Order: sequence, then structure tokens, then C-alpha cells
Amino acid sequence: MADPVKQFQIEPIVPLDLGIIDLSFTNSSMAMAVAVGLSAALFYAGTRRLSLVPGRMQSLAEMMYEFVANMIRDNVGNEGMRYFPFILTLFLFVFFGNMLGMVPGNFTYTSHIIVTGALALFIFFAVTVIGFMRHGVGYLRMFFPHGAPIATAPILIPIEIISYLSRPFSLSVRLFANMTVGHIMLKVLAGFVVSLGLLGGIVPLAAVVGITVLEFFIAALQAYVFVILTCIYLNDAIHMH
Amino acid sequence: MPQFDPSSFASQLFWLAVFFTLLYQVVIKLVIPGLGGVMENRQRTIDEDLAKAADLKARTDAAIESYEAALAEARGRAQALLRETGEEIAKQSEARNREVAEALAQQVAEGEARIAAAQAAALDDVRDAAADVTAALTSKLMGGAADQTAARASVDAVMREAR
Repeated sequence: MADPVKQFQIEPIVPLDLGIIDLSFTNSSMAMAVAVGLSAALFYAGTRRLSLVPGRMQSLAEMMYEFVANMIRDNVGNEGMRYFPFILTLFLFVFFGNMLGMVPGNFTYTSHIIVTGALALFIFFAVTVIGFMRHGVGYLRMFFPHGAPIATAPILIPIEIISYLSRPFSLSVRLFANMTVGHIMLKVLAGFVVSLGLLGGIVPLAAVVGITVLEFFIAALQAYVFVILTCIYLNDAIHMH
Repeated sequence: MPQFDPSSFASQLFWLAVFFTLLYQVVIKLVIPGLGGVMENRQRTIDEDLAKAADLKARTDAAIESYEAALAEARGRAQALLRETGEEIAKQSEARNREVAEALAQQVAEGEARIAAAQAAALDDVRDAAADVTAALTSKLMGGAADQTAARASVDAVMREAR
């Protein structure tokens, strides 16, 4: 049976070892390139012949555009539309990363904690900077909810600080764990199909088919969750709570 | 697990930054101006069309209103005219009735006067005749000429008694 975590192995395609650091173009980088290429192709095809009444590809592109735009409008309001390009990029990057991972043999870059962690940390710092830029020192009130009795401050403030600081971890681990576990599960069950033979393998095969459907759903859902949490953090930074 | 092998971290972070930035550029240069523009344009077209429709509807409403106002005014005028004409006709016919009635009453009075004159004339003739008859009878019965004046007086007395 194949090692179920072997699929996460980073393999250099174009080695680029600079001595101190290794910046090789790897299978992960390749998957990112394909994701970016696909997003660009989708929007290129969708915007090639722009018309007031959209064609097929334009409708698809507009659907993605509107989906993200509505998410921001609903969760952050119109002030959040300033950050629309970033949020759309984030959604496309995570969504295509997850979805490309569902193609057999493809690498899933969102199953690496360093990638999701970098994205989450970037969002965390960006949101924090936006918060302080908008509210100055007043942004520290984030750590003490409005209307709470002052006596509860010694308990509430540490809790709020911890929950604020844990945002990047929960955000990155959620995506990484979902992707990793799903792919491991598929690999393990697919291994059973082979080892149980023609008759006994039918049961795990059926399970693999079902879980594949589930994984597609999770791939889309986790991209949505990642972006909507970003919107919620952004909303906190812009409007506080 | 390969996820926790730090040797690949630098490469992954580097290419993540590269491709994320690249995609961001695609979004900024291609998606936002293209799609965003056309969608904004569509929204504007829809808004303009809606505004135009609302304006036309307002104008239609105004036209209907003015039409109804004109209709009501015309109806009111027609009713007033009808009422005035009716009153005038009634007044005229009343006046005519009165005139005719007066004329008739005058004619009746004239006729009555004529009848009364004729009656008086007839009575006079009767009295004359009766006086002549009385005078003639008296002279025939008693002989000699009868006193015309006395005969007339006695006839008058009898007639007064008979009345």
C-alpha cells in the first residue's frame, strides 16, 4: 500500500538552490502556477467580449465576482469594497488550490500549513494594521466588549486577546487540516480497494466515490469559509464590535 | 509528514508570494476594470431604465389625472347647463300658462258681459212686448185707448214680483 502522506511530498521540478535558501520551483509551485493560470484564463475568457447581456463565460466570471462582492457587502459593508481585489484574489487562490487538488495526481498546495499559515498571518497582520489605522489606539477596545461590567475586565481582556491572537492559527489549521485529512482518507480507502481485491474492494470503492463527492464539497466550502472569516475579521477591524 | 519539513518552507513561501501577487495583478488589471466596469455599466443601465420607466409612469398618471379632471369638469358643466335650461323652460312655460290663462279669463269676462247685455236687451224686449200686449188687451176689453205708461208700470211690477 502506498504511503498516504507521500502525496504531500514537495518535489523540486526546477532546482534553484541559492546556498543559504532553497527556492526550487516545486510541484507545489507548479500547482499554484496552474491555479493562477486557470483563474486568469477563466476571467480572460469571461472578459474577452464584454457585453451588457453576458455570454456563458462572462456569466461564470461574473458569478464568481458577484459571489465575492456580495460576501464583502453582506459581511463588511461598502467600506469593505476597497479590499475587494485582495479578497477576490484570496478566494480564487484558495478555491482553485482546493479544486485542483481534487484532480488525481495533482498537488494540493492548500494542504501545506506553511501556505495556509502564511496567508492567515498576512490577513491577521493586514487586518490589525487596518484596525489601528482606522481607530488608532481605540482599536484596543476590541479586547473589551461594550457594555461588559468593568469588574469582568481581568477575565475578559485576556480571553479576548487570546481569541484575537488565535485567529491566524484557527484560520490556517482549519484549511490545512481539512485538505490534508480528506486527501489522506481518500488515499487510504483507495489503498483498501486494491488490497481487498475484486469482490471485497467494492465496499471501499463505493466509499471512495462518496467521499470524493464530499471532498469536492469540502474544497468549495473551505475556500468559502476561509474568505468569509477574512471578511468577518475585516469587519471587526473596520466597525469594531 | 512533509508538511512539517522546514526545508521546503522557503521555496513554498517564495512561490506563494510570487503567484499570489501575480493573481492579484490579474485581478487588478483584468478582472476589476473589465468585469467591474461592465457590471457597473449594467447596473447604471438598469437604474436609468428604471428611472425612465418611473418617469413615464408618473407622466401617464398625470395625463390620466388631467383627463379625469377635464372629464369631471365637462360633466359638471353639462349638468349645470341641463339644470339651467330646465329652469328656463319651466319659467317660460309658466309665463306662457299665465298669459294664456289671463287671456282666457278676459275672453270669458267679455263673453259674460255680452251675455248679460243680451239678456238685458231680451228682457227689455219682453217687457215692451208684454206692455204692448197688456195695453192692447186692455183697450180690446175695456174700449178706448189704453194708457201705455200705466201698462208698462204694471208689467214692471209683475215682473219684479216674479223675480
